[in-house]
Amino acid sequence: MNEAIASLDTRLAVLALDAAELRQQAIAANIANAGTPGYRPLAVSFEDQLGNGLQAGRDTGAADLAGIAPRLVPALPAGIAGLAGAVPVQLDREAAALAQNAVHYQALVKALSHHYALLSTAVGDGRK
Amino acid sequence: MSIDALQAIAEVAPVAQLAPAAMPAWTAATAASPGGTGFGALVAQGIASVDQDLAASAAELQSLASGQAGSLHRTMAKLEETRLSFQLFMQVRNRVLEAYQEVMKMQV
Repeated sequence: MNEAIASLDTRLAVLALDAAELRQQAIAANIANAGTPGYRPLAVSFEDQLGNGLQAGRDTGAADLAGIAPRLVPALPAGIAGLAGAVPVQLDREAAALAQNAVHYQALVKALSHHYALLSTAVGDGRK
Repeated sequence: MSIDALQAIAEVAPVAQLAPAAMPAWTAATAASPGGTGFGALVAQGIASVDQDLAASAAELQSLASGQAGSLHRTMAKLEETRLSFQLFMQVRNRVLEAYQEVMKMQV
């Protein structure tokens, strides 16, 4: 793929879409297993990794997305991290997170679409 | 393809600024080097890359149609990038043809 087209921006947006997709699956699993005894809710670790990667990129001058990938991690409520035993699923929070994630996914798709439209204008001689 | 061309120019640019007399020597060396970074090799490489992209996106489309696509957004991004690559390729082709016709019309 041409490096100018598959740029850092597009790779970033696609990675973020990967994360949103995985988060949708994690929240769906949490809601489906809300009544399962001993179930540990899942969350997705992505934004903190991305933040570190971009910061490292700013320091060294070249952003490196190689090691960054959305991962499933056990969700631990703030403050009682490391607590042994199962944390119950909070259905209202999960439903809100699901809605938020859906909006986030739509926004990312729209952003990627705008980015491609810009490239398309550049490639198409100023025409659409 | 365009990036390779840019890199080639970037490598040459400082040389050209320092010693303009060195330019013809460089041009002759590049054009003559067999299978090297000549213009023909550059174009062939670009066409091969676009062809590879087209084949890859065709495979993605098939897996989407048969319901085996890993993720929808990756398939769509791939298709869009292939479209842009192909469009860029067509533009370069048009410019090269224009230049060729210009040279053909030139009075010797």
